[in-house]
Amino acid sequence: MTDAVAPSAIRAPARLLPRVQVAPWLYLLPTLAVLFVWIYLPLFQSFQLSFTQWNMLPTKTPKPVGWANYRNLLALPELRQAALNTVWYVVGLLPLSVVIPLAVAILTQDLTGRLRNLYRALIFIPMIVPPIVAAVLWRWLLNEDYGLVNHIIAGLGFPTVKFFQNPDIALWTMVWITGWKLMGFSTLLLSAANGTIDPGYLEAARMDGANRWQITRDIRLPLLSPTILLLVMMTVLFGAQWSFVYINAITDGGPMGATTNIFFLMWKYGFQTFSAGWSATAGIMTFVTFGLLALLFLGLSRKVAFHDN
Amino acid sequence: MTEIAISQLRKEFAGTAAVEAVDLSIRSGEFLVILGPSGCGKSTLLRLIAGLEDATGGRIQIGGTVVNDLEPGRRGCAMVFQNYSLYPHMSVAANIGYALKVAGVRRAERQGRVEDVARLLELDHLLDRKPGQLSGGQRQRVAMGRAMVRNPQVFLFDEPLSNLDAKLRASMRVEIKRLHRRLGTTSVFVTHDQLEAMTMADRMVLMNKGRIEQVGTPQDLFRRPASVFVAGFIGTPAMNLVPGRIVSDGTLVADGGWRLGGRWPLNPHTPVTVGMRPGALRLTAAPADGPVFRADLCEDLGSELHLHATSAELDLVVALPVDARPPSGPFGLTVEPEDLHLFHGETGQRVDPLPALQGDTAWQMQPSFT
Repeated sequence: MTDAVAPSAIRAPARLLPRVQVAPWLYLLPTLAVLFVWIYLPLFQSFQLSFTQWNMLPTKTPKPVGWANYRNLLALPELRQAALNTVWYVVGLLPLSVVIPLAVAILTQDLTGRLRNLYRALIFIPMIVPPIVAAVLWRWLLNEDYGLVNHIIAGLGFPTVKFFQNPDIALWTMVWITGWKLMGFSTLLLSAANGTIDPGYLEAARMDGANRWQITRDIRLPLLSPTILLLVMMTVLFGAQWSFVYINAITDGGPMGATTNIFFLMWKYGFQTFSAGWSATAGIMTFVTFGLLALLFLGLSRKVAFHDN
Repeated sequence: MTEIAISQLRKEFAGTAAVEAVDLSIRSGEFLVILGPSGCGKSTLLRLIAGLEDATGGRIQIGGTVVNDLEPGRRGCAMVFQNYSLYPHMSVAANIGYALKVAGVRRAERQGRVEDVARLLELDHLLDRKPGQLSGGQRQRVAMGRAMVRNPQVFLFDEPLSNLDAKLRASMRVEIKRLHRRLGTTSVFVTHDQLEAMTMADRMVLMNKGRIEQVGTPQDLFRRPASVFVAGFIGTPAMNLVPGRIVSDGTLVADGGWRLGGRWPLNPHTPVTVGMRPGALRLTAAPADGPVFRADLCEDLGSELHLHATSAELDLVVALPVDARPPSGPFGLTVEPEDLHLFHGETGQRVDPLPALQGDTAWQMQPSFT
């Protein structure tokens, strides 16, 4: 009896302290440190800043103002306009970043050889043009007086268009420029996903008597749904951000705030009028809104998108 | 009644012929198996019938209609794919019913027909599952159901059992044959497994390098192989193929000076290939002239023994009953002339013997070993 008990009695003291595995945490440390210093700490500090009034001068200390920033901002027509514009940016970008690339990817799936490379290069070029270069390029192309586009429009006998000055058109011009740069990326992503669909499914559908459209609707689109959802999610969450460079370089948010979205407004508060409190408040409100949207999408992708293992 | 007539069919991929000069007529209600090694063009031939590949030349008729330019879905064929190709995002019911859906069959009727097929295949409790949640055998059955639901004129099977384990394969083989007996639909079944071909086929086609080597019943191909290729491909263990020639007195001599019987319609000095089934060889005492063999290796399969016999020139496999004792010393081998298969050395084509003469006993050279 005692012989049987003895070994466990010897081993027991060693188990009194749970052995902490140090190595995994050491491996994770650099990443966690970077995440903390550059993401979570600034987020927390912005949150703090949103309850203060501060003009960003190092000599001044931020003055606590409670919820005043939130109350004031929500009452501001400027913010409401920017928020609504943000929605329009996203709505306008969706066809350019999802619908058209999807159509192009499916219509060009049978291209082979040299033609395929040419088309891929053409659609990819806007992606590798630096945003600021694209901004300058489009400002010239769409200039009211000497731009190529207006030149052609005038040549066809139509009145010239004030692409950047007309408040009703300016936002859609910015959407177009942002979307023009995104289209190549989306098309490549969708083409790649389309190319990985097992040809066996398509052959089975042909044997079942499905025509091209039915195959697209019943087989391709469901199997592309994870990629489509990813692109929709990226457009909704980041689309308005991606237009920042063009707004900054071309319209500066004008005319009369017509092209200002929430991200540009945030930047303006912070770095043009030096109201750090307001900027942080707008930032936190945006963060919460888009955070909720992101959660919604994650739930949706688990439910709707089909993943073929 | 749906027969398939194929004439002078040809398919090229980038200038290389995958299927060449194929003439084949498949009878209505027949279960035809296309057999061949990998790369012989058997799957391509099936896909040409299905319409998944366009023929480079020749003509395919199904039920009297030329279908070369018809879309796969309009040829009246249903196909079971090697990896089943079940639509992964659809339930079993939707998979089976998809052909009816695109054909515009109303939902209520569709549901009824799907349930009928599911009941027949014992899938009725799985209708709501996705293919990813099914076992290999169940997926196989769903693929069958998807083919059956349209009441097609022709079933095409592209190696449908090769992804199953041996036991399941044997039972699915029986199941498919039962279904065929019940439905009586013309079926074309592609496989590289000769056991599958021999057991399932009404008639079989053996293909090699894009061409048909022989068409016939499994017994035809086993008993009267038309070429060296057929002889070597069909049968386990494989037929012993030995080079030889017809000598000046008209008798057949295999390598190693092995005088074999039979009377052959060939000129002296013609090179030939002699085929002998392992089961047709008999052990004798070591002969004075002709090859002397030694036992190299003996494999016990449980049901029979496979003895590897070697002489100076020859390596042969002899099938023996399990109760036989493999010889420890040197021995000889004989074979009855009617069990010999002779092939022309240059063309590889079968040569049939002349009818034996009365009292011709020249071939009885060795006393029996037993």
